[in-house]
Amino acid sequence: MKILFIDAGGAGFAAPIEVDPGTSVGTLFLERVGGDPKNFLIRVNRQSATINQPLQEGDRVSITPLKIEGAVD
Amino acid sequence: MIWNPNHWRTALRIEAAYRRYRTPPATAAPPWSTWRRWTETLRQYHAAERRGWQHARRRQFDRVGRSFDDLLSELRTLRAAIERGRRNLIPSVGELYAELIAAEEEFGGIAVADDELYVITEPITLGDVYLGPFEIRLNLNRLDEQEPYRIVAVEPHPAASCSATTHPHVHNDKVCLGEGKAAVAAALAEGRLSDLFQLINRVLHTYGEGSAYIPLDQWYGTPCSECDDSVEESELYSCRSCDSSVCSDCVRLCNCGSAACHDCATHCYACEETTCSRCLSICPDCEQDFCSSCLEEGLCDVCREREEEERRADDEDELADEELVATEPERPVHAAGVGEVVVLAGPRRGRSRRLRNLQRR
Repeated sequence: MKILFIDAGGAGFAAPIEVDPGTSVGTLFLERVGGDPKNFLIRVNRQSATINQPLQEGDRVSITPLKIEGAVD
Repeated sequence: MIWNPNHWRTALRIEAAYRRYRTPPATAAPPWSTWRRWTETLRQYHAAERRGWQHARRRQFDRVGRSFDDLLSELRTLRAAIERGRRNLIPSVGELYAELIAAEEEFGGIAVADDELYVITEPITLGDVYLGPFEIRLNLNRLDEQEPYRIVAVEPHPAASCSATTHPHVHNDKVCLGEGKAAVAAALAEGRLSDLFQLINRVLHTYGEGSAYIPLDQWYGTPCSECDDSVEESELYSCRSCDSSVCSDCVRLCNCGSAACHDCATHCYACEETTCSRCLSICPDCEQDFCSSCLEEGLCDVCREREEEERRADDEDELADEELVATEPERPVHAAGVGEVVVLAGPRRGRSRRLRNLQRR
């Protein structure tokens, strides 16, 4: 099934991706991002999500790191 | 989800702004001519193979490979153009409305004022420094610009040394996004406003020591290198020798105005006043450093007094010599001593001093 995935830790573009039916948020996180989910804000369809939440066709998943280091121009 | 007509109107306005600034992507045409050239080359290759023309077959084989590479290259270009076009799509009013609702839920409210859509972060504390809440303001008339947002401190707690720095990564309401720059640009391009606000919010909640305008340990002032008290930048002195920052209580100042820290400060040997190395002179006799007030005719007081004492002693010696010569009776000269100089016995101390003084002058 196809979902829209936004990895805000990288280039941040939204891209449609194919996942297996029944894939959970946690599985997608481990496959696509990795690390400790506590360090990320994970949203499905613009709502906070748990890692056990199963994904549905057409879901919009965004994963945003809680720590993003700024810089000096 | 409760219908919010205000947010819908805002979404309409944002969609209009995107439409105004977004130029439609150029239509990318499929590489038909390259395709035809490749199929024609392939047909010729098969013909040569069927007829057993080995030379023509080898030549056509190379051409098939080259035209196939050309075709692949043009297809990749087409794919990139399609991708660019997808990213260049104008977000729909519905999507923008959903973004506004999401941002409202995450930040507890959104508002529009002076053409700026804004959210307010929760109060931010980095380390032990309380910075307060910030407004993340997106200017709806500048969506075509790279950074149409600004960060305004709601209850400013700026750095002691710079009132324009309200956050280690915010200066003059401008945030330096660092690692978040690409993601924020993508969110803005795709109209993902809740992501944009959230990404900037996460930057504001993160402290990068090496990349801060003003590090947190200097937020309340710059520490004096000697007493470690935090002092405002304007009240600090910089040591002329080692550049360390010293507060007004710890600084050593020379009469010429140059500052020095404790370790680098030099002093006059006589009055012990702090004197910089440029203002110190060496007394040639004792070879100690003195300030200009403690040197007279190039000598320190002690050496000058000693010199005067010696001069006085020499004068007294000379006077005594002259008196001695005047009172000495003439002695008969032995015949054998004719032609020799008569040297009168007398004190030698004064002569050697006179000689030393002459050598010195």
